[in-house]
Amino acid sequence: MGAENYNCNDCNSVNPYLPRIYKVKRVKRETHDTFTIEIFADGFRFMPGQFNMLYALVGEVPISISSDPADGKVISHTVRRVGHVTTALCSLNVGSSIGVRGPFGNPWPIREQEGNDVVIVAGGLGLAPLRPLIYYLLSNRGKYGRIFLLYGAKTPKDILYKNELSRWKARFDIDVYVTVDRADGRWHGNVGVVTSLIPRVHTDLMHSSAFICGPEVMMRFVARELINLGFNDERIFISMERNMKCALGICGHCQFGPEFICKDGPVLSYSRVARLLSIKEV
Amino acid sequence: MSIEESIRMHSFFSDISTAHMSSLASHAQHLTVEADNFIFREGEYADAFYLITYGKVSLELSTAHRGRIIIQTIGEDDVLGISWLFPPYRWRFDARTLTLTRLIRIDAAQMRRMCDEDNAFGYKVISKLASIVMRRLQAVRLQLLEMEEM
Repeated sequence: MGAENYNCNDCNSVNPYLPRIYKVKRVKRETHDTFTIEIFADGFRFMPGQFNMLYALVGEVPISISSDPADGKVISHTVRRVGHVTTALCSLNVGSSIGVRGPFGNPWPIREQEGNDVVIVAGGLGLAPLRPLIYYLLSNRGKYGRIFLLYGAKTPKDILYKNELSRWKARFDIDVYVTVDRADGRWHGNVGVVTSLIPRVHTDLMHSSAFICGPEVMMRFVARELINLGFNDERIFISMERNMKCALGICGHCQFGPEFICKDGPVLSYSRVARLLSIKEV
Repeated sequence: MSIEESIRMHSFFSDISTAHMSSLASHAQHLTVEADNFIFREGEYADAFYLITYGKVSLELSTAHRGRIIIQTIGEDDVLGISWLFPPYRWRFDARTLTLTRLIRIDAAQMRRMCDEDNAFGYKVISKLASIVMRRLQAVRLQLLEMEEM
């Protein structure tokens, strides 16, 4: 896994434009507007950080895969209900049919980081594409140094995967910190933006890697803080989001400077895209 | 642990000189506050500067419509309170402990006196506080930018 692209040559359908039809196992409500759709997909292989094009009757949208890559039977996608297609996806019932094209895109280059300390920083829905990475790291725990997960949500009600966060917090081999931007007096956790958690990260800076996903401005602030701390920008990876259509690097909808996010991304090293992030309308 | 040792273990005063330490220590004391208690309330006279050595504190605002709103939480090795440095020396927020919290309370008038009498010491204190204020300002900016983006 790593720099190589996992595009149509590796995907699970013969014709990359043609969705495969799967059945919905369960639609789980995560927050007031976010749902995890579990799909029976026996033998579906993917790498952490990759995405699928999900097809509901009204159209198709790119959604990161959020389940355990070792599962092999069920894949999950965590979807925020914001438009027609995502509303249709979140309204699916058990046993409904769903079209899936993929997996597409570059995964998190996690095997290249073996032996390193790993810092994972997620903002909001950005925890979804990082969840397969966390599963992978915990399944291969002995190959990595210290692992930190820093997660920021808008409010306590917007926190995703609460049960799993509790389980991970209870483990002794991963440091999990959660913060929210705002809260009322009933919340006893941290309040502040996710960058306020970075001083808690104590890693071997010569051998540390970071994986970040969230709003673009948050990823820039986090990357900058990590670089100030001494992280190498070539070992900071971010997952970008753009309007992906073909998912094959042909249509150009997701072009980001010289990169096609669907094919060259969505995971890119920060050093590769840092300059582009500050250019208007790139 | 003596008050001098506690002050020196906190990153804010880790590089303080022996002379400054003895002036400071004579006006400082350990303070332990149980969970869910106020250390200070909005509008009260800001007569102390606090260094948190253990626990978690929320800075919050009480409102008529929404009850308590937590603005920020701070914890071990953080500094609590900046209003003691600027007139009219009134706290802008409530500070409430979320867990059992241990602090070092330093008399604000003494801190101001030391800053006035020794400009090098004052500069160091102000620089450190300015970097804390800058970090908090950047956090607020990020929060505002994220709100626009999300």
